[in-house]
Amino acid sequence: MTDTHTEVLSAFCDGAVVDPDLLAAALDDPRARAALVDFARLRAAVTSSEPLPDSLTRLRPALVRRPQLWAALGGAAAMLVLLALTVALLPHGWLRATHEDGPPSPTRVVRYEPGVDWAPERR
Amino acid sequence: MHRELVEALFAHYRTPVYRFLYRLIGDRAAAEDLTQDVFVRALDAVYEASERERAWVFQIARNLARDHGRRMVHRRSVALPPQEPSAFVDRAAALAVHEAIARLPDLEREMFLLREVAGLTYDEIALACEVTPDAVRNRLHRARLSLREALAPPIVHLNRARS
Repeated sequence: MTDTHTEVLSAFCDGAVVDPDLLAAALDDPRARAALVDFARLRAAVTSSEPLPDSLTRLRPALVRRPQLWAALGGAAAMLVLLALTVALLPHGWLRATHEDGPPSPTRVVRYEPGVDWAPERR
Repeated sequence: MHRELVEALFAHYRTPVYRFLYRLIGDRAAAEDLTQDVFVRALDAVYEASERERAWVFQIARNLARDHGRRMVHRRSVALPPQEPSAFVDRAAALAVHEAIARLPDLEREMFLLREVAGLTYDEIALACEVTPDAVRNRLHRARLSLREALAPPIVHLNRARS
């Protein structure tokens, strides 16, 4: 048996146009004939009579595709990373400038009690 | 693409697409989902009906199966259940064939199933797999020889299951 024999038989199984003389030579070869029978057995083995599942009786509407949760989570994570990078890469002066431009915030309050910390001026 | 046209494609090709996908990925529920996805994706596609529509539908199916395979790469060791076997083989033989097909290189497995399960021609398989028809012919021959070798002990008993 040669590869040419099995190749011709394989193509013949597929409905391809083959050289009739090569086909005749292949069919004269007992081992090539055995290969042809095995090719037929393989076809029989993958042929299924199983009915179609109920889920495929109708085409589902395009709008009710399965939600891609992982895609949504991935998008949210990407947004967070982008936000963090933006804040980290901002020039520090930008952040400081917002504090320096306005009036300083009081850090303590000092109260003066009349008669204790100061006396009214006598006239 | 018009929904009416896709509905017609769905009615015509859902069975071979489902059986191709089920054989290819070995997961019934995923094959059902992916079959729907093939035609839902066709709704978004720009395509004019032609004699190549079958190759086009199966090209979408093949691409979706590859995407699915990449997502499930860590689960490939799960045993592949056989479909309801045909009248010519018993369940054990069908499982042996199923496992042998699963061990073929990706492209050969896809081509073999496109030919034997979906019934595509060389030209259609070439379009779906983006190769030449000669490459399809050679790969199919190689796939058959590989399967024959892998199934050497059980394949001779495949037809005895009928009795």
